[in-house]
Amino acid sequence: MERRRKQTPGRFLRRNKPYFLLALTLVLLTAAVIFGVRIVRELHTPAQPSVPASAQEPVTPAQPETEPEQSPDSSEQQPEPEPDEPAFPGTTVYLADGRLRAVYNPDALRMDSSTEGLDSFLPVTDGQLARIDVQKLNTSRELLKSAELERICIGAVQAYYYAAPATEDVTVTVLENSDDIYDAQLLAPAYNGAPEVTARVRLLQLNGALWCLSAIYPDGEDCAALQQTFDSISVRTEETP
Amino acid sequence: MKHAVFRRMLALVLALCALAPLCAPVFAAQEAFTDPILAAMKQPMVLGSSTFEYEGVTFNRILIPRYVLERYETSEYEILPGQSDERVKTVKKALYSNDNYPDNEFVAYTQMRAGEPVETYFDDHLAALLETIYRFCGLPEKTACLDELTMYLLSCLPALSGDMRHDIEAMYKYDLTKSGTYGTVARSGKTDDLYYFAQTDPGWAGEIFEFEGNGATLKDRGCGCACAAMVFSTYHKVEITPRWMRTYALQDNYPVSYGLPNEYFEGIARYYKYLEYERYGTTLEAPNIYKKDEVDMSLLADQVGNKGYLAIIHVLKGAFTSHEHYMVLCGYTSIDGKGYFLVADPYVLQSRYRDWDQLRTTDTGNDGLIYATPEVLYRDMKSIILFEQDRNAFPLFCRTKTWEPLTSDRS
Repeated sequence: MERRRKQTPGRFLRRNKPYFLLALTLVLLTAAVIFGVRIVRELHTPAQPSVPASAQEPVTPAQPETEPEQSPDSSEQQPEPEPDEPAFPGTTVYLADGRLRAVYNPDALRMDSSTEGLDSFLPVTDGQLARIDVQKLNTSRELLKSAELERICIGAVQAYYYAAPATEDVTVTVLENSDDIYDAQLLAPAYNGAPEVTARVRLLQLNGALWCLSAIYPDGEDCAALQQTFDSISVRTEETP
Repeated sequence: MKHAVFRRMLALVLALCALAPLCAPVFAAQEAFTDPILAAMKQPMVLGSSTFEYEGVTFNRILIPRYVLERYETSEYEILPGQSDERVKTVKKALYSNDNYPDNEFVAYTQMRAGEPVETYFDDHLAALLETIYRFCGLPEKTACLDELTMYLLSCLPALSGDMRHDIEAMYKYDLTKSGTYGTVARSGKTDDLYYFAQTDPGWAGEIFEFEGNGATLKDRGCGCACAAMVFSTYHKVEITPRWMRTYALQDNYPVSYGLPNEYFEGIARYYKYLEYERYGTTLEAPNIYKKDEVDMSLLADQVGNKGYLAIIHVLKGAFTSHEHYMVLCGYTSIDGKGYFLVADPYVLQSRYRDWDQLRTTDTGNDGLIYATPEVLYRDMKSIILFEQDRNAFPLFCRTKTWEPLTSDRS
């Protein structure tokens, strides 16, 4: 009678190693497919709509232009104006749940928040193409390299076109590139019936979200009021009323 | 031992396959990271124009974001007109499909006859269609080719509205008409530059077209059907084969001992006057029938050659046939100082011709086409069925009301 060899766990594993390997491979394959499908779906899912930014706080009246008279003997000091106060009179509005502040001249510009997730400033004069738009992007500054930030700025300008000029034809001048701000001036050539356009795009990192402030100044249009408003957009401090 | 080695090799292969999908998402992410951000931007389109002008008509654009176009700036392949490739066959099949395009003729039957060289051949009509699509997509400088961008555009075509697909097709057919290159495509892939159908074509030659049970086929007696197919296709700018013309002839009991009477052409033209009116705005008026003694060949030459008329000639035994026969007079030209009609003979057998001093061969490679003098045609003529309409007239108009985005989502 043959003596049967004792079946130890180690011997069992050695004898069936290929089958264990095969089973493990199948498990890995399944996991990889599930993971891969999730990644691809994530990439192709449209970005979530940004939080509605049209939560304007009540508009504060324009600051009075005249300053109170100073008594020659008064020892009181007049309060210094805040360094970030706009140099033009206007109406202050709060964008982005009150996190961003802008000042605009209601005689020259009007505000439009009819598109969900977008705050816009437009000239009161009909027929002008110049405008400012403010929206929240579904990404964050730390996820983006400089080249991608530049691409987003160009894309923000291209989005204004029915048929946009090529990316390589848009000239970009970076004005500021910090952890919280990416600011660029762009120049798009005349294309498809549109004039040459100077644009500004500022990407602001604010409370975990990236905000896109974009302005287009088509050649031949008076954009002084818009430019002042664009420059006035800033992060609201706690002290600002 | 062998089994163990095999199992180990199999496991190794499966393990490598499992690792591959883990790598793919990395590359995909790097390519498309900013695309979703750009796709979600909300600013309105205010710069440039959503329309373009073509031949005095304003058309609405198909809009594609620049970042999508630039995704396809480079392509791993590029197939050019005149080349043959399996991708061409795939594209033609998709464009011909009634499921995708029940109301459009982007690719016609003769462009993709199964088993023939034309099936994989990148013919000139396909090139013209692609350049029309490029024009709508804001790519007027792009020349026709099958590359990754073109394949992407074609994949999005079914999702466009019916009106937009109509505008594309109408402009495409208009271009063919204007350039004189409309028509059927030969089995080799070369364009015929006119609508030509042979009663001897293997595609339908064997179909029964009998009279009083004589067992005759289209090949035997179908010259009238083939000529009607040529004329109808020319005026309606879609391929209408002799098979279809045969169906009408039978349903209205037209066949006679020698084929079809002249009145068949009047009847079918009247019945299907508005066959493609809704699609193209074209109509076909009923022809006028002239007996031999009412025909002035000089006038006919001017009508066919300069005014764009088409004539079906009913001939008796003579240079072209030993019985009776119908042929189409589809052009008039001067060769070595002598005038010749271009004759489209639906029975392809030049060896049966006589009076070769009155005939000249063409260099089209199509043996169904022959040049014939007015004298020999008049000699053998019994009557002329004259369609007094310019075959080169094709209305061009825009049906869409606004621009459309190009998307792969089916509307």
